[in-house]
Amino acid sequence: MDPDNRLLSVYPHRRLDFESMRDALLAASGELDVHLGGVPSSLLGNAATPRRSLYGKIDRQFLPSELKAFDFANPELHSPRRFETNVPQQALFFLNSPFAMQRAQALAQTLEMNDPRARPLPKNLPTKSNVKRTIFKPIIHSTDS
Amino acid sequence: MGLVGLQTLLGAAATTHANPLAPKRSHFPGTAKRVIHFFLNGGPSHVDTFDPKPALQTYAGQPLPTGHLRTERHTGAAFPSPFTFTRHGQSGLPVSELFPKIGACADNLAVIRSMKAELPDHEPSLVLMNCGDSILSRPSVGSWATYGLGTENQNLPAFITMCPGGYPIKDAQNWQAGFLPGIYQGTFIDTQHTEIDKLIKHIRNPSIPLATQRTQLEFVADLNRAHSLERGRNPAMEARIQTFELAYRMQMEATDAFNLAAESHAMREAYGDGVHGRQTLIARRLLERGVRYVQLWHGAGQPWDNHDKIQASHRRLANELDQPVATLLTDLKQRGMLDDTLVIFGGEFGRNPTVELNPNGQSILGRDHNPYGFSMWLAGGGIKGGTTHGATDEFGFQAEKQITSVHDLHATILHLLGFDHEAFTHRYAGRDFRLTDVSGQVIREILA
Repeated sequence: MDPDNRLLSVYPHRRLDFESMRDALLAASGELDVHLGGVPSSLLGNAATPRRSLYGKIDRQFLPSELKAFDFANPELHSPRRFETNVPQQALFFLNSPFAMQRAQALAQTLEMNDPRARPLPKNLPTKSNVKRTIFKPIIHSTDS
Repeated sequence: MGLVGLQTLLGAAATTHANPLAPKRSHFPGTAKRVIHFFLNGGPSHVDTFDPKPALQTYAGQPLPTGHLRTERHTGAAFPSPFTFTRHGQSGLPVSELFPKIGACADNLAVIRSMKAELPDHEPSLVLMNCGDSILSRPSVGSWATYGLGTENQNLPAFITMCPGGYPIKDAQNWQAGFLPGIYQGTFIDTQHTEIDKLIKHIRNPSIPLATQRTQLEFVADLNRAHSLERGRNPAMEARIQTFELAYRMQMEATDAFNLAAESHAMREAYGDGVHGRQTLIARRLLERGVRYVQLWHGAGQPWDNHDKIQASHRRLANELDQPVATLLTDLKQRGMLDDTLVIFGGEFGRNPTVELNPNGQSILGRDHNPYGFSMWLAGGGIKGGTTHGATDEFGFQAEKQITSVHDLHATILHLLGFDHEAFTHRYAGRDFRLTDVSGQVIREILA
């Protein structure tokens, strides 16, 4: 009916910026620390804290490559709008980064059968038991921290 | 699916969900499809490598008749090159004994002797050479190249920079995307490492094997498709789903590209078993696989910056590069790739023909920075070999004939890639910026 949503039949999709995306991952795993104020802390890496990305420390000379991959604004320039690119380095972050894996582990550890955050799987998926075995087992039993 | 049609409609616009690295057409067919840039960071001395100055011998140990040269640090008497120059090849191009094997490739080289930068220090000169501006934050040459051309191989980063042992001065600003989308930034690789997980970020999952990951991806793709259907077809969502497939393939292809065990023993020996031989061979593999722009740095910091004891230091550094670079030229030629691969060789500036002094006025047997006249060479990709362009004064201090600015060099690089540097722009902050800003001319004399 309105395939390009020109008539705004649904609310237009918006792209989450890096800070919101990072906060969303932390919120999903239940780890987000929402207390206000205080000194900035690292966003990623071993020194990272689960604080909101708002409190992230930005070193403009050593901006982590993940931030670049997610179209973070260049701190040396005036940036009225951020770019919105779709690139494999972003997917690699979700697939393999310690940050993403730690969030998955945290979520798996706290998840119970009737957790209100859980949603039912779509109906036409491969058998659920197979999925549970191959996907969740390595995360739950992984000894990575 | 309408994604392909959408990409052609949207053209070069990068703020869309179309793949920013999809191959794009240049303004006209270029002679070069890819670039490799050997960056001798710290600034190699031109009078000791590619610009012979016998007049320095006449004034050895004495002040030059041109009077005190404007140098950043105190310099003293004329300091003739301790190295012998020999004419090479059919062209008779003179190259010093520091680079005998590169010298043997003289008939492929176009040596620009009249390069001129603006400021005598590393930081502004590095960003000028790499990004076209000494002071302001601007996209690097590699970023412009990948912005304009995209890449032939979506499974590898399009612009890769390699440096053994850490970052050069100015770190990632040397390959920054500036006001272009972040994906055009160079992917930095520290080649002191050999394991693939240390070479590219997140390229491997530490706990999940590929087969399991494949199942994961199919599950995620199913979830994404279901999500997509609920909300109506969305090209942005489809592009996003596509990146997971690309990431999966990148894991395998990057691992393969960096795997030197796949090369014959003879090939690895030809390049040399040091870190420079290794990274140059990796570079050739990347170029073969469609990577658009590769930049190879000599080492962390500024290794060529020999203010003191230049004879021993330059000899050691040159010895690390001579064999790998010469082998690359020969290797590219044998693979039929030299004609469409532009090879660039040089640093951010050159060095003084007079000897540097310590604060007590004693010679420290080295050379200070010299942006006023220095040498670089280009080869392949449509460059005329066996030729020199321009000249410095008789002592090698400043560029005199056919003075070549960094913008001229960049205009030429873009021309070889198929771009009119004056028309290749990106609108930012209300202005159409270009790599060459407001000046620069293609150096037609060195085009084949």
